[in-house]
Amino acid sequence: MDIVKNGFYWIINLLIQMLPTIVKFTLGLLPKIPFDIKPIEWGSFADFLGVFIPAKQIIIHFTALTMTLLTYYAARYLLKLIRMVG
Amino acid sequence: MVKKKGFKRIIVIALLLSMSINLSLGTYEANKAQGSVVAGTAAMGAGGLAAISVPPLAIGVGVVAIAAVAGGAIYSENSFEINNAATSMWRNCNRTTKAAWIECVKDFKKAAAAGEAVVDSAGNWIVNVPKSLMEEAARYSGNIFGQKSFSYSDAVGKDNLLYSGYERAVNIPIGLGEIEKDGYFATRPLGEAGLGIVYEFDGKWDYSSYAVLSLEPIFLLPNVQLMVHNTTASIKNKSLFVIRDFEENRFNLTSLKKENVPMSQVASIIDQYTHSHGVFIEHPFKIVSAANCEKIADALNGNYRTAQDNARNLGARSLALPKGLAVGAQGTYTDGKDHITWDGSKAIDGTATPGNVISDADRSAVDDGIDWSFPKDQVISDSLADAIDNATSNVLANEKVNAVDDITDNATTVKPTPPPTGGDDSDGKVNWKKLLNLGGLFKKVFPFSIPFVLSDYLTGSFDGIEKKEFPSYDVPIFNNQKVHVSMPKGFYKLLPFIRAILLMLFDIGLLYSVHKWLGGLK
Repeated sequence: MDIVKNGFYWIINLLIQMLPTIVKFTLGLLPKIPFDIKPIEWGSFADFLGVFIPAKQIIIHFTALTMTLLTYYAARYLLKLIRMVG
Repeated sequence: MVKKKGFKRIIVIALLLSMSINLSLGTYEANKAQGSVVAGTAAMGAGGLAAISVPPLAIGVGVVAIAAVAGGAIYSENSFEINNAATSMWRNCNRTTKAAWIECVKDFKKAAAAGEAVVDSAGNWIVNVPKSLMEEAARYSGNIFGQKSFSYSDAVGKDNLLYSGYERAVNIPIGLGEIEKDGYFATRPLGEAGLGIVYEFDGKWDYSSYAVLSLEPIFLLPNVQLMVHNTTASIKNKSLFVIRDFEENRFNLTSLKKENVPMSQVASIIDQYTHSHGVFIEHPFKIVSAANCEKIADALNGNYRTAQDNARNLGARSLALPKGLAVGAQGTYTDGKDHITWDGSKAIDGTATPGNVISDADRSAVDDGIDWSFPKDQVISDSLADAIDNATSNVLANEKVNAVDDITDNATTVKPTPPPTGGDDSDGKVNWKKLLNLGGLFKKVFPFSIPFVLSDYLTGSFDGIEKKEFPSYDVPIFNNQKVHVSMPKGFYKLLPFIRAILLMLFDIGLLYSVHKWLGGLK
């Protein structure tokens, strides 16, 4: 019985061991991102404006709110689908 | 309907423009990051070069700021801490790393010889460093290179004296606030390391080097003026003083100029460290010799930022960069945005700084074809150095445990726990360990990398935009007379209110806009 059990784990571990190789190979076929995205250069005026504007907070609020809304819309759409199927 | 379509197009175009997307297929190499300091963070993915700049003085201790710049590079505003770490790196790194550094220097020399602006307006030397090397440095130095950056762009230059541009009190150059007119001013006011602290925070171990006190120059530290002798007893007393100051939360308040320092930040940092588990004092001091101190008249308003000073104090120690680069009349330094540009008239092989010679052992390690200058670690005599080392190590050995207990309020020192392995290779278990790092592979390939790149973009764009203080200006009026224009201090009391109002307005506007754009609340 132990032989069967160990054999089962051996196969599972072999698959797990192979998986990274397969993933690496597959991802190797994909290109690296072809964009050179540069951060915004705000210039010296931003030094002045940056005192007033809570940029980090704004980004956090923006992200949180949009994510919330997106979640809401996704859930609503899902519920619609369920209702259609039902 | 037509209007809505047009509006969406405008939004898309605006987004694309704002992100400055360059369709540079396959160009991930060698965009030399020169010049401008970019506050913020985000190591953009893929190859590229990194740049290190070396603030010449003042920021003796600080945390490395890493920011994204064009071409997938890392721009790092340096400090002596980097130099210390890099010095150690040099001594411990392998041949490949040394070769990488050499390439950096070659690249630097080439740029300098070509007349490029290799020194920025603040006197920082801009050196391109391969990203791989930065990563290695991060690994070696306990990730001080890899920390998230903070706004640092204004931290150099004359404004440094006002501590502007710092977002973390860790970076405050302790001691500068005590500079008095015609007083002694240290070119390395923070010493070589100050006080190193290893701490655990949010489950991660980190390292900070504090400029709490340095043995020299003692003139900046009135409360230790009586302990001027570098005897073993004196060193021990000073160490004890630092430890006591630290545990009583007075450690870096003693030499700060309150009106110029965001004390709330200092308090929060102190609070953060004193309430962290596992804080311990790692190394009290490194020694700064008297030779590294000098008297500069009228330091606050005078000549401390001359090109000569920049060159003299450049942290070229570890990078082995030539010190003769921006000396004296060669530099065209002005107290503005101009750059010091090497005019090629003087050798930059370091021969102008006698005594700073790489050891034979180091030199023979790599046949680089470069005339290296590798400054000595300490200028003081060996016997004194030994004495001080012994003293500090004794202090460390004797006081470490007690200090830890006091600081952490008897908290148990928490050791970092290794990540779960998910099993082992033995029979009868599933070994999940191989899958742990699988997710990271997706960060680097298109299209899975898009969220990470966007995240980096946002971080790099907005991380350093917030400032704590308004910029100040020196306006020339007549006959070299200048008027210092800055925002009245009283205005700062209004700032939190203004920021809160702006934030609320933004939130309301965002809700309203979402309602309009997405049809929410219908």
